[in-house]
Amino acid sequence: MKRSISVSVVVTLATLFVMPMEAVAKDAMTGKEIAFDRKLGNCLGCHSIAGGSQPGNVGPPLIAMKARFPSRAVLRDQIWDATVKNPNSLMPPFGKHKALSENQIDKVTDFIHSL
Amino acid sequence: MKKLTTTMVVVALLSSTTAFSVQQSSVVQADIDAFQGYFKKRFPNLSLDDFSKGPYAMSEDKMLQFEAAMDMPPFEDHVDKGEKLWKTAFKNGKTYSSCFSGSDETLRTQFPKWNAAKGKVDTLEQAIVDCRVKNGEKKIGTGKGKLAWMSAYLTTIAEGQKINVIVPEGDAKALAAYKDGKKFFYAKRGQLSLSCANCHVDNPGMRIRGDTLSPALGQITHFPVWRGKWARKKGDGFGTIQRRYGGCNKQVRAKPFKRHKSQYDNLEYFHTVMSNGMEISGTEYRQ
Amino acid sequence: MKKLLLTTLTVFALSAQADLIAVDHGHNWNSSPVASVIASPVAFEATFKAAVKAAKKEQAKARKVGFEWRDIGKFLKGAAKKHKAGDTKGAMKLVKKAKNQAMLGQQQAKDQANAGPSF
Repeated sequence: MKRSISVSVVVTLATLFVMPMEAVAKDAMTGKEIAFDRKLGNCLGCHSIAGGSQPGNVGPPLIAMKARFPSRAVLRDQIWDATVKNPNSLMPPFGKHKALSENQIDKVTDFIHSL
Repeated sequence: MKKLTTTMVVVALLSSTTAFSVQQSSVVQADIDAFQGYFKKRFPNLSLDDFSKGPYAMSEDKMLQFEAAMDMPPFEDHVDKGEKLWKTAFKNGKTYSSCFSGSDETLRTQFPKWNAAKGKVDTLEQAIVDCRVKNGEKKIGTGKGKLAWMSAYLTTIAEGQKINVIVPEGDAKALAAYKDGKKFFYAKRGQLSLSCANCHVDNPGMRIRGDTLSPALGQITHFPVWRGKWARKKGDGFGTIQRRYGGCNKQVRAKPFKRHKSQYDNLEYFHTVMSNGMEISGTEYRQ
Repeated sequence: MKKLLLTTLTVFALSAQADLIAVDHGHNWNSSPVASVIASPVAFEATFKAAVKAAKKEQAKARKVGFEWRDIGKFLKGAAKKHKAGDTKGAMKLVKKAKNQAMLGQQQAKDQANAGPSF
C-alpha cells in the first residue's frame, strides 16, 4: 500500500513537472536552436549557415545578412512569407502558415540577421 | 484504273490506322515538348534516358553509390516472389495475365491508361487488384507488399519498353483528368507550401540537407522502387509510385490522399505522360 | 517520518495541480465570445463542443477542395484526449490550431487555383 502511494505520488509529481518544463523549454529555445531544429525552422534544409552541418543548397548561403538586409523588418517579412516578393519561392511561409510563432520568428530573425 | 485502286487502298489503310491508334492530344503533346525541352536545356549533357537515374544522374559520387547498390540488388528476392505470385493461378484456374491484353512485358507501359467507358484513369496497380476481385480473390493493399512485388516484376520485365501514355485527342474528359493531375503537380500544398514542381522541376540536382532532388522527368521509369528509407521502416522496402506520392505530401505537411482515387490517379497520368518516349529502366534502388 | 513526508508530498502535489487548473482558467480567453462563462465546466463543455464542430466543418471544407493539411486530424484527436484529461486550456488551443490550419488550407486552394509551370 505504502509503496503504491509513493509510486502514485512520484508519478503525479513527475507529470506535474514534466509538462510545464517542456513548455518552458520550447519558449526558452534560442533563435539559433529554432533555426537549426528540423521540425521548426529547419533553415539548414536549404541554406548553409555557419555552425550548421549538412546544409542543403536550394537557397543562398546565409552570410553577410546585414549587408543584404539592412532592414531587420524586411528580413522578418521574408521569413514570414517569402512568396510575397517571389510567388514561386520555395521557402515555406513560416509566419503566414504559422509553422513558427511570431515570437519564434522574432528570435530567428535576430539570429539570421546576426550572420 | 490501277491507279484508282491503289489510291483507294492507301486511303483505306490510312483511315484504318487512325481508327485503331488513338492520337495524342495536341495540347498534351505541346506540354510534353515544353517539359522535356526545359530539362534538356537545363542539363544539356544528359540524354533523355539519363534522367531516369534521378539524383544519381546529377552527380558522379551519387552514381557510384547507386551502382554499388545495384551490383548486389537488395530487392531481387522480392521481384522473384512477385513473379511467382503473378504466375500462380487463382482458385478458379485463371491467371493474372488473363485480365490483360498483350504480353506481360508490355503491361507496364500500357498504364496508366484512359478508360473512356468509365471516364477515369486506370493504373496497373488498381488493375491487378480488380483482376483479383473479378476472379473471386480477396483485395490486397496497394502501396507495398505483394502488390508492389508483382508490379515490380512487371516493371523489371518491361525494361527497355518505351513509355507512351496517351491522352486521346478530342476526349474532353480525358483532357480534364490530365489537367487535374497537372494542376496537382504545380500547386503548392501543405503547411510548408511546396509543390511537386518546386523541388522536382525548379531544383533537381540541388540538395535539401544531404538529399539530392531528383528531376520529375523520368521519375516513373523505375517504380515500384526499393527504398533504403522504406526498408529501415516496417516492411521490405518496396513501394509503388502512389505510395511515394503519399510520402511526398506528408513531407510538405499536406494530408495524403487515398491511393487509387482520382487525385493520385490523375497525377500519375500527368506525371507519366511527361516522360513519354523514355525507356522503363526496371525496378531500381533508391536511397 | 516517512508517512509525514508522503503526506507532505501528496498535499504539495494536489495543491500544485489545483494551481495549474487555476492558471488554466485564469488564462486570457478574451478572444472567445463566451469568455465570461468559461469558468463553469458545463459552459465549457458546450463551448468546446461547438469549437470542435466548427473546426471539423472547416476541415471538411479544406478536404473538399483538396488542400487539407497533415496534422489537423491529429490536433483534433489530441484535443479530445486533453479534454478528457481535464486540460481545458490545452484542448481549446489545439482545436483553435486545427480550425486555423483548415482555413489556411482553404486559402491556399484559392491562391493555387491557377498553378502551372513557370518555364
